[in-house]
Amino acid sequence: MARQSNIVRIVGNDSYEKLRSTKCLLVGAGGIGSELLKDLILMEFGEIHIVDLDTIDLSNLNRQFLFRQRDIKQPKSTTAVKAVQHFNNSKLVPYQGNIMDSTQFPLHWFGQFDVIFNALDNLAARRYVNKMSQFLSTPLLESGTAGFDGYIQPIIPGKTECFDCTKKETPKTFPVCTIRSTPSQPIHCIVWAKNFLFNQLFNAETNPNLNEEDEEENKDWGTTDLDEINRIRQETNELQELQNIVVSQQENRIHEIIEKLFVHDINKLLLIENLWKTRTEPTPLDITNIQNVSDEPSKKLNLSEIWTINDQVQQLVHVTKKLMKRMPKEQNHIEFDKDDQDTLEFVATTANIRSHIFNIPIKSVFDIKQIAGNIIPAIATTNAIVAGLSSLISLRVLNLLKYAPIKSPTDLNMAFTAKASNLSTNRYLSNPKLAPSSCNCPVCSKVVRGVVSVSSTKYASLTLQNLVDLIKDKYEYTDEISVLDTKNQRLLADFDFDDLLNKTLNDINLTDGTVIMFTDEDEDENGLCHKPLELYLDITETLPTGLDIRLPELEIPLVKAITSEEATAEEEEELSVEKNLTEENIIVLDEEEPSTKKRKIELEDEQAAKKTKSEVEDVIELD
Amino acid sequence: MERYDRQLRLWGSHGQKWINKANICIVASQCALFQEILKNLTLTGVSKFTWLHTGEIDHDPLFYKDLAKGLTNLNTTVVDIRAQNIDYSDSAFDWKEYTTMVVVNANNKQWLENILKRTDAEMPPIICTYTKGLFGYSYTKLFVPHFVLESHPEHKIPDLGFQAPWPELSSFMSSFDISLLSSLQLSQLPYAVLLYKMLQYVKDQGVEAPSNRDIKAALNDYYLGEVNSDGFNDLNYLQAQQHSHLSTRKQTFDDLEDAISCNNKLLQSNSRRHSLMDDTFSCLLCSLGIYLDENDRNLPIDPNIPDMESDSTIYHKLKLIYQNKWQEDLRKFENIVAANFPALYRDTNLDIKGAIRLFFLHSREIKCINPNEIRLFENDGVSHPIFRQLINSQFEMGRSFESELIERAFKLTSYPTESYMGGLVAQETIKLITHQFEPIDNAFIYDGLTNNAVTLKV
Ligand SMILES: [Zn+2]
Repeated sequence: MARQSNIVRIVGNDSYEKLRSTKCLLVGAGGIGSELLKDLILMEFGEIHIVDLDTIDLSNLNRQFLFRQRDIKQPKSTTAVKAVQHFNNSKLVPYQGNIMDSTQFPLHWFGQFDVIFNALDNLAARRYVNKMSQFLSTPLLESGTAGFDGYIQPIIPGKTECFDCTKKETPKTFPVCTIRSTPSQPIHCIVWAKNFLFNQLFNAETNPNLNEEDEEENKDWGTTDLDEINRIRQETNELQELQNIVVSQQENRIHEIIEKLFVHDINKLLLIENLWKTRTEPTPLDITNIQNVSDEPSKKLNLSEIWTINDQVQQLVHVTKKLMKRMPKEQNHIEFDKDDQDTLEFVATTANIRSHIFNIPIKSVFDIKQIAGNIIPAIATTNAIVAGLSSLISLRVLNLLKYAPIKSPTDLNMAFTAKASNLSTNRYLSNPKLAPSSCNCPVCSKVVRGVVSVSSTKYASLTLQNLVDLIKDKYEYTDEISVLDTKNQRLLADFDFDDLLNKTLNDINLTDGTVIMFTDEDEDENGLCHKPLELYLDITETLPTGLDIRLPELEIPLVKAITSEEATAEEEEELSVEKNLTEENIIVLDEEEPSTKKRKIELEDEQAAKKTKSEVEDVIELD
Repeated sequence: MERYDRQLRLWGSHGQKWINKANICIVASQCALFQEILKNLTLTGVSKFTWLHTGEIDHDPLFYKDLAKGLTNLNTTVVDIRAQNIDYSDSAFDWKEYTTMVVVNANNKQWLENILKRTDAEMPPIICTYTKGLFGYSYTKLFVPHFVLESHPEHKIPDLGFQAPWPELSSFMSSFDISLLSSLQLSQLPYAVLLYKMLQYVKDQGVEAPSNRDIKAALNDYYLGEVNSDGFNDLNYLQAQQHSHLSTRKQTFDDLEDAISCNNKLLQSNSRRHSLMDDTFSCLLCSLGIYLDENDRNLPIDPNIPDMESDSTIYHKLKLIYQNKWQEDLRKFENIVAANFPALYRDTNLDIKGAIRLFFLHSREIKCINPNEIRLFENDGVSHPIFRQLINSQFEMGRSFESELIERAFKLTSYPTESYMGGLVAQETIKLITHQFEPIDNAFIYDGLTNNAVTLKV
């Protein structure tokens, strides 16, 4: 077979055998995923498992070439596998599921793979898979694209930088008062419409009072003006009444909603004179705009154009009716989705009317969709480029290119690609060498990681004390260690807390997939102690016979003990970062895809600075 | 258009329109690289191809048994691939109807050399590409200048237009009597006002063109010295410091002037390509030249001024002044187009007003890429070792590898290389079709052994 002989030529006979027995995990069957699947199959990897949670959407079809119009709404993973059958010579296993679901994908499931390819579109899953690769020491090939920009990063656990070694951009946040009282940019009005108004009206579970009290303590109001804070609170309460109109489907009262939001609330705002000393006062919506709304279905409007304010109001009435009708069918709970045209138009029109009131430029639905949905541009060509880079470097990561072996993992390259064909800096692709793990990284450097495997019979009787003893014994801790459940930072035991030691792990809710942290509290005479240890609890039936618990073979280095103050300070910093990332409050603009762009640019610039000189010499001008 | 939503955000619906209209000629055998390029172009929205089959059957892995059938589903319209065997001796073949030509892994050196050395202006741009082992190159040959209308620069320098203030701007600026304002009121002025007033102050003192460093000092002297000694921490003052260079910045637009004079020469000699797109842009470029002649060579004002710390009423007014001026400039420009190219202006086949607006809005980004002499096949034409090696290998012109390692890497076949180069060549084709983003000028070499790439000019 012609194909096989070619592959043998790529890697040589020995490596071909190895390649055929290599098991890959491909996380994501979207843009990069489709391309990677094709490349991995044509490179003849033995076995490829594909995980994707999503179903196929029309806007995927400009780049995810394995999918067709008729596949819309079908799961990506299984559809992709069907689509490649006619040229496939590998064992393919598709899964529809969330890679972060530890019931469907427990750690020992990850353990079967020789290499993991990330082709993901969100930060949380990227971080999660990175962590799994660190627990298992499985090489990970991370990749991403945004428009013409793309990158790949091979991650060799313990040897090179992991995904979390560099800070990733966190979502943008805005002070409450900017969103609720004094917007000055289109984005402020869009966040108001999407994260605040839409939820208040179409999500009956949102109880405004509860929300406010919950968040009262640590809310960034962005103002100390009590009048204003009180007005914001009162306004939220009044929205409950508007929600009732929506839930009870009183179409004839839609104009009341519009009047309340765009006339009465604005008039109340105007009463707070302090706000308008250095700002243009908003102008409440002209009431005739509301009265003139006709009952006829609105005319066909172009989504890329900027509509008149009359059209905005007309369309808002129209779409609010549609959403009202949907409420009972959807359990009084509709969520904003950029691909749900009704929700998008509601957000676009309300944001635009608000912008109009505050003298802010209004935008087309097309543009608002990008901002509200955090849409990242995507094209086929960048995905093909990045998949090519990622699949090729995997051969070197797995050391299958025998004639070009890597001496050290830091000899491997990462790669960035961009549209710019800038001759002066000569960058179409930059390829910095991998850096070693960052000494400050909370994921790969600050702790030692491993997996503790326990059979289910052993687990039923295993107490925390048993586990602590085994660990002290195995890793030569002298005496005091503290134990923490990392899921919720729950203290399980330390020198003056031993109540839980005699309980079984099951009793204290340490279940399959829990990550337990052990900290050495006992400095030696040189002020050194063991590096913190994080163990992933894996309940499994696959232990060798005669073995019912297995601790990982780890070298736990001694490090300088950190004082408790330093530790607390650091923890707080981490917590606040975490909070920004997860909190679903109204001022967080959540992300569709993490932006690694900032880092890319930094790296590129750094790289460019270093290389400009040497590369300019590569430019051969003959003309 | 929903299908193309994610890419419209890069080149707009006007860019997509040219992609959907494109007619691409590909010279290739049924090889993996050809298949990758075809797949990527089809996904992006190209639906009209002529495939000149060069005959050889490649053993590279393919994922479509029947290319045309496999591709049809990747596009909204039926993909039209007209396949025919290439006739190397056909000198009458009509190349000019194609938007762009792509030549993949060609091995007939004489034929390719003849094509690349043609001098007729109607030839479309040609992208030649070749991959071998872990290596590949692409080379773009232009026969006439290629105009990039929207180069999408990463950093745009704002233009406050102080070099040629217009009446509305001047009267807005003089509406502030600085000496009567309190320090609170002063702190609420946008930095553009501070800079404008400072320029006047400097001129009153007899300095016509202060340097960038002088301007910072002058701002200090004027604002802190004469106007508001407490203002050194005000945000608007700090911004004024930071952006002081904008006040005297003479925007240079050599690229645009170059493009206009280039285009005028082409129009006079009529040695240019004729197509709806080429004709339209040619007329618009010529009109822009006339516009500059009539306006002291001042570029149209930039309607989008940067954000400034300010009282929002004042900022809003300022913004409107720039936007109105731009609208006025646009009307002037439209009139020039209508007067000089009445046929184009009345053409109902394209949204001419939209095209004029976009062209005018992005006029600062216009670039002109000049045609290049082909030296590819001459002995001293290419000195980059891997590029040289690739060309030698492509046309079987003997080999002398730098190292055993490279020799081995050359003998392999590697699907990832095809995937990479297929993405790159399709991307370059899209840049040429849309006249957006700067294309590679003119050669690109990929080295999969080190994941390294260079662009160079031959
Ligand atoms: Zn790390």
